[in-house]
Amino acid sequence: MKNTLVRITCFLLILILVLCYADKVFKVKYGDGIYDMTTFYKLDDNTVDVLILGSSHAFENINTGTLWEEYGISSYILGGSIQPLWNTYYYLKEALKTQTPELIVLEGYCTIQNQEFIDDSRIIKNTYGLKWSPDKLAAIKISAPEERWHEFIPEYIQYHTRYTELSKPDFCGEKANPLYYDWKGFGCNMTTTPLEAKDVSGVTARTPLYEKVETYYRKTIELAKERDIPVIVLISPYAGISEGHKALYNTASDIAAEYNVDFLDANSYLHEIGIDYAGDAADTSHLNYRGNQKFSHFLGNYLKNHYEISDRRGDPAFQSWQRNCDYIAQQIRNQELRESQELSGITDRLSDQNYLLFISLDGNCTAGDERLQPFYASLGIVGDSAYGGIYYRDNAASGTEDLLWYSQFGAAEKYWDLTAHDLCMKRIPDAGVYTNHITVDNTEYKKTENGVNVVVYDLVTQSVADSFGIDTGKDYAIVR
Amino acid sequence: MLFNSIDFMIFFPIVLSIYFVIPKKLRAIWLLIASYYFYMSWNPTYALLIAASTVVTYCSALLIDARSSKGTYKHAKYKKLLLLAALFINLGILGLFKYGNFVIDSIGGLLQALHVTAAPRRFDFLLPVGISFYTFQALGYLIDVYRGDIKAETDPVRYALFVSFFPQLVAGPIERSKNLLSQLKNISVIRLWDAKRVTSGAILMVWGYFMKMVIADRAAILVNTVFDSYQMYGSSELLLAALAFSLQIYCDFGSYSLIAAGSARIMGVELMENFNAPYFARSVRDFWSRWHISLSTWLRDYLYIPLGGNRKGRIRKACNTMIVFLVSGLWHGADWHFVAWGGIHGFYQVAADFLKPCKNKLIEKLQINTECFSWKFLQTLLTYILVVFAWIFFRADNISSSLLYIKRIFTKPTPWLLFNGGIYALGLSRIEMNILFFSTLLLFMADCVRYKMKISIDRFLMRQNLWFEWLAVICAILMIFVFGEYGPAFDSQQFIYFQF
Repeated sequence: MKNTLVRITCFLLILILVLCYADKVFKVKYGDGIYDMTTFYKLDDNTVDVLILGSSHAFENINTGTLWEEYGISSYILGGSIQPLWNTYYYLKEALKTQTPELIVLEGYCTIQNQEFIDDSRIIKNTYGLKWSPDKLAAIKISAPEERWHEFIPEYIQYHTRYTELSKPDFCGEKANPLYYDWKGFGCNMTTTPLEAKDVSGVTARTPLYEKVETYYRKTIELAKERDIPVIVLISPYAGISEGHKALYNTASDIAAEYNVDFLDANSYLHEIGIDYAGDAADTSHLNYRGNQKFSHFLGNYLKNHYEISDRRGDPAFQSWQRNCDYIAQQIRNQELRESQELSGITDRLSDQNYLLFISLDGNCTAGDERLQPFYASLGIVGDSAYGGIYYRDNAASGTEDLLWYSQFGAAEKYWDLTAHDLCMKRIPDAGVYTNHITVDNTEYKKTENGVNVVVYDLVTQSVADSFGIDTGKDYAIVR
Repeated sequence: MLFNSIDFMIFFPIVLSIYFVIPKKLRAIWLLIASYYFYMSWNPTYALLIAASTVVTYCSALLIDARSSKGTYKHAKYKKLLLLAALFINLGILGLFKYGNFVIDSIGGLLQALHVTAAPRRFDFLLPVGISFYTFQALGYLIDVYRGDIKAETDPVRYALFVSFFPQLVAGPIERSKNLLSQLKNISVIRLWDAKRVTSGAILMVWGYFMKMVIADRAAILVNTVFDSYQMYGSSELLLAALAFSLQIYCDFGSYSLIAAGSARIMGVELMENFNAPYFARSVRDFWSRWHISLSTWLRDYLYIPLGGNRKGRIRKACNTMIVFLVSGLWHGADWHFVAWGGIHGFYQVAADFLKPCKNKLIEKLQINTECFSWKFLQTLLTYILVVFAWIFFRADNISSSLLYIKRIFTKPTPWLLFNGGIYALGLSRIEMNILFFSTLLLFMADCVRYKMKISIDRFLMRQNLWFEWLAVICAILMIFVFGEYGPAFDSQQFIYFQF
């Protein structure tokens, strides 16, 4: 009997371990919703001074890096994709278990919602990140119709079919992406869509909020009030605003006034912010990296002027905000590099200390190409002027203009085992003609057959920051 | 409450836990309560039908048994009358609920063919789940008592449990009174904690879930896609769907029997084997000795043999065979295409009997070696092809659809689809097809073990070293968790045999 019990226990233990691992692998790993919560749990207690709640309008428009860098605000965006206010309420409830912020910013875009329930993927994104507790159960129950509760609890049945889409992060978790190392909930949108601003400031009409939305809008404000935490309701700028939206915001503003809560519709301050949707919008709902920096500068200034918010810069307990800020800055630098079309501008940006450069001179392009000499000189490319070759440069390691490694003659290959990726450079001779290959995780990067191919690997974001070619056959045009 | 539902995952452990701890005397009544709860989870009203069937057969059996000791003509006649009355009531309920609309529709069709305008009213009730199973089980018991093979059961609780025992209530196997009732008599002395028995039952359940959730329900996606619009497909897709259906119905029905046998075994009750590597059969007769064994043997014992079996000449034997298979077809469903399916199987057997001398002569003349692998393989392959052909009639909506389906196989060749990836557009992506293929390979291996070593998967695994047994079971559970067809994105397939 004793042996049997030991056997059963061991078997069940192994089985549970295997199933738990499978659950961990298959869990949905969305940045927009789930990671906001899971990384929030890892923060030290009472380190968030400004807690920002809301939908993607919060986590794409408010740049936590800017708030930190310019004002020393330790902010965290706890949001989810199209997050309904009932989920915002439970996110706040969960947040207040470990944090006592100096200010709560409630991004109020979702006051315009007019549905009892949102789509399944958003229900998952806005609830599955929560730790198991009665609040999580309540959050799921309020998010889905009663007859469908069993489809969301247990969670596993929702995501076990993900075997067709598994990727590295599913096995390595948040460690697979440095974005989440010191994440503060902000996702920087790099897209640019030229749009025009719409002036709806003249709309004074008021449309009642959807009943469920209004209930949880009020409950969220009341919860903050109960804890004596100041609240501001913010509508961040977006190009897709309409008269209908504005009429709903007017009602939301009235409700906020009932609670003596500030209501800031930033759409009325586009000029002061400096927003120009021609270059600052990612899409009709979100700002891009240029727009979110401008808006966050404006917002930080507003918050500093209207509320008592600590400046944590220099405090060792808040180093992760600095790292987050550095990360975002690096993301933006990478984007600026990708957008550069002039060789001189690219040359300047390539000197970033965080870059590893993998360069190949292909086809008829040689180290002696006269028009490329300034470019070669800036990267330290040397060698026989009659030949091409493959070159590797680590800006931080060399500290000089010398290349760390290059090859022009004979077969050559070199491998780099980086944390997140494997890179390889090869130079293969065939009947007197050389072919060069730059490969990242089995994907070859080659933009031109005749010219210079450059792969820029960024050590901060642990990703290929840019890959471009200088096509000698097309008047040295930059090709991406 | 489906075996593959969350409800059953909660229901079974609760039933089991209480079954293990309550006083021995209460075990039967507890299982009876659980069985009725299980059945009523579909439709509480239909519990009245099973209760009526139980009461009628219980009382009739007692009355018949009371007359058995008196061997006079009068008593024999009385017994016969009682038996016929009970048969009439039970088959009447079955006929009304299962075949009522079929008869009405058939009459309507006939009238329409005769240009007679009539709109017969149809019954608007649902088919009670498992009615064919428990009716046949109760009638088998009654006939056994009538024949004097067993004594009538006096304990009403035990008898009611025999009819409604939840693991096999709605989709078999159709148990025999000699097997199940005698075990239920000893239920209070069953040693509940027997690690080997419980392990064996649990392995059967796991394998059953694997067959149902990983194979049957995945194959069903392809089958439904093609059969629902067969007019849009050519030979490759239609053949593939027919093959997939043979896999689906085997895994669907076989899995139910395995889960039933496994759950019963955990509770200390052995159910009869219902499937024995059926697609390894070397003749259609052999197939029926391996497929739905509990129904085949029921029809043999209570229909074929009473009709005279093979004792009254070749013609009579052929007629009896056809009757049995037509009844079998009708038992499977109230529609002519099921009757056609049964008829085809009956025809296979009759034809095999009549052609046997020719076949033997041919073998002798051509000096064919019948002991080698190639001959056995050919027999298995031909049997499988014949069975798959008949399955088309079983799965199609009606006979004319079946014929059109078969016609398209021959008239719309699309062999290129096997090479250009076209088969991955039939509801299953490439990865889903790979999972289906790999799972089917595992099923093939398990059936090989069953066929060659003559032991079931649980016994085979329990003979291996512990690490292998655990590895196999854990991998199967993991595959069910990961690749099982369940969850909101999946339209859960009922066990096919529930409709019978």
